[in-house]
Amino acid sequence: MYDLLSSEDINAINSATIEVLEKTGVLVESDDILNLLKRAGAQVNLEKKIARFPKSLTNESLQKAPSSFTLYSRKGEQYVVGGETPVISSGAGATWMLDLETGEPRPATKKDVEETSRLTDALEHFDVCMATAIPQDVKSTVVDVMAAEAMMINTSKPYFLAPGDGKQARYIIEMAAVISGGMDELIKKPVLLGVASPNSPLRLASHDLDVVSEFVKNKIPITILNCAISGATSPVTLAGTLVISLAEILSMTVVAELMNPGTPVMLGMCPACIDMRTANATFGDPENALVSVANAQLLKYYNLPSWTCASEVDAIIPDAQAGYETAWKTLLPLMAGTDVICGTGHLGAAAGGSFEKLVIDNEIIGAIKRILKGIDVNESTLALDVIDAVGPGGHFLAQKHTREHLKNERWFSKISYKSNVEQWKKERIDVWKRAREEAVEILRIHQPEPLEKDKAQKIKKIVEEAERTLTGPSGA
Amino acid sequence: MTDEKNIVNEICNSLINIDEDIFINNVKKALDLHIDPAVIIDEGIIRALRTVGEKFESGEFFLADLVGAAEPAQKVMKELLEPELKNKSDKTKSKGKIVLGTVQGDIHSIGKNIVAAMLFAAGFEVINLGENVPAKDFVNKAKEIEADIVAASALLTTTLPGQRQIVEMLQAEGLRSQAKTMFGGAPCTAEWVEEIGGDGYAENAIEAVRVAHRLLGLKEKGMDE
Repeated sequence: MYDLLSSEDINAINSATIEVLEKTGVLVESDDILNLLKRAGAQVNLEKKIARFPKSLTNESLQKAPSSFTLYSRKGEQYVVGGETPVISSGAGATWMLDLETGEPRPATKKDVEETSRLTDALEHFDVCMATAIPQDVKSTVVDVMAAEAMMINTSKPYFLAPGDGKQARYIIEMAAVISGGMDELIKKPVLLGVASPNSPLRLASHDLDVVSEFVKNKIPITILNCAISGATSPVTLAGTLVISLAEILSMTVVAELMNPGTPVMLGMCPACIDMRTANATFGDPENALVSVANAQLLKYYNLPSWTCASEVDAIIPDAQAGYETAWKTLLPLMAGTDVICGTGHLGAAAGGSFEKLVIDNEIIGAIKRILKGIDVNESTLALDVIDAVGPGGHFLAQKHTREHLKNERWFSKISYKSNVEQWKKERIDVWKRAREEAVEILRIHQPEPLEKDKAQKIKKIVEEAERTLTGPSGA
Repeated sequence: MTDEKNIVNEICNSLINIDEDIFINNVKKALDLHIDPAVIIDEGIIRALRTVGEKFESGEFFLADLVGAAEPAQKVMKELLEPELKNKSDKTKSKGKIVLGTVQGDIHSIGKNIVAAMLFAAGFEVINLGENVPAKDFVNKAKEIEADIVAASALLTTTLPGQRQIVEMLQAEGLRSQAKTMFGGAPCTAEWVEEIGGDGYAENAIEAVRVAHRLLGLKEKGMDE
């Protein structure tokens, strides 16, 4: 386990966070929730919409949330969030895709969400699916409902969805209930995890609070995830960024646990920095990896499951930059014990999606899982007998010990290049091309466990209703 | 005359050094000495911002320096210098008036604020309407001040249609030929701006400055070369 922060550091960050919540407070853009907070003991200024959270309220609310919860796939497989094993998700939110045929960036479509979901369904290291892209070819007011439909048909893995508003959240929950066979079943065995975000700095917007409310009132698990941009919407110092980020996600957690005590929540950070030369928000920086590591440590302190957007990179194509940014952003938070990671399959500061990057990230995560297993030291692995049997000058290839331990000891790459230069001269291939071939082949042959016809039809009806009610004349 | 020159130079230098308190004091001192506010603006502030912009372009200064200089400069212009200008019925020589904000339903501010600071630093007059701004407020403000450009940011796919509303409403009000439109924000693309009939798309704050110049047929100083 990688411990970046000392226990003194953690105590200092916690005290500072409590002080921000007590003294500076948070802008809460909902009178109902301000009143709820007031009744619970928060100091509320209704006119300025500022709530200040006493330490006792924060601590008591956090204790109501469970330290772990279980998600289910359509097929009934279980994924414990906050358990021993990290849960790996694809990433979400790209507005452009790297076209699989041309290799050129172009606007993302609903078909991309269908195909990346199907690809995610096939890739063995992904446990959960997010909508890789925000489709640009559907009405913008139903964009998340459309993405949900594309996912639900094309993968049986659990669904992480971040609806833009409460209305879409309601339809998406209804759709998930169809999959589970009713709302009671969905609540008992959730196939859906919501995501809602505070707005940095220190602002809970009404449309995000609506999303929280829709999930929480049914006790469907929700991730509370902020995206502070260090240097712009949070302090340039990483300690200060951690303080403000924690204050934001803890304040929204207090709201969730007041709305419906005991609701399963996961907390997390999607760390970004402002690039001081281009003014872009950047995700691939080493500082972001450090924030993700600290996030895992801090949430262990609060005994709550942790999430981070790992694997998000600034590189536009799956090149060496994409590789090294992914490596440090994914390896370090997983080494620190992060419970759930997403952000995989992304390029261009999370604005871009890529089929090839999904395949490459699957490869990287496979290797990281091997790293996390560490080195097993016991009588059999110390290999004294076989060392003695082979003796000086022999070899181990033909030994039974080698065959017996091979699968446990070794990671087997799928797309990484392992041949020598003479072979490469004949093939002239790199990892981008290999990943492309793999993605094309998976999309050609892989079919997900089909969704029952009647359920698919019910979901289609809900989507049509959402389209009727949510699309106005000015929709994009 | 040398006193006047000295104090205006000090204004310029304190802004380049981003010594906010010294800068404000220098401006107050200059006003006490009855130095023409137009001179303070041109020879002190605009000159300093041009230097800051050049240092940013060359990589010596960072975004934090550029915004760090632009924000106090904007504040001093608004609070100390513009009231004086009105008294003398004088006019600032800005490159153009830009009404800017984040569209209705969207509370994201940072990108839009960086754009505002950079446009201001480049010599435009910027009226920042804030966040969650209804289309009609953009249009009313544009009409009131005879804006050259209306610029709107949207950070959510769901609020992007607010940009289209601005174009439609400007058209309905007959302002489309007077005021150019310029859009940006994460889900916004050049294709989208073309589809809604907007004039300019900028993928970031630096590009926004270029686009503003292009839309008004102006040449950039120290930004493009």
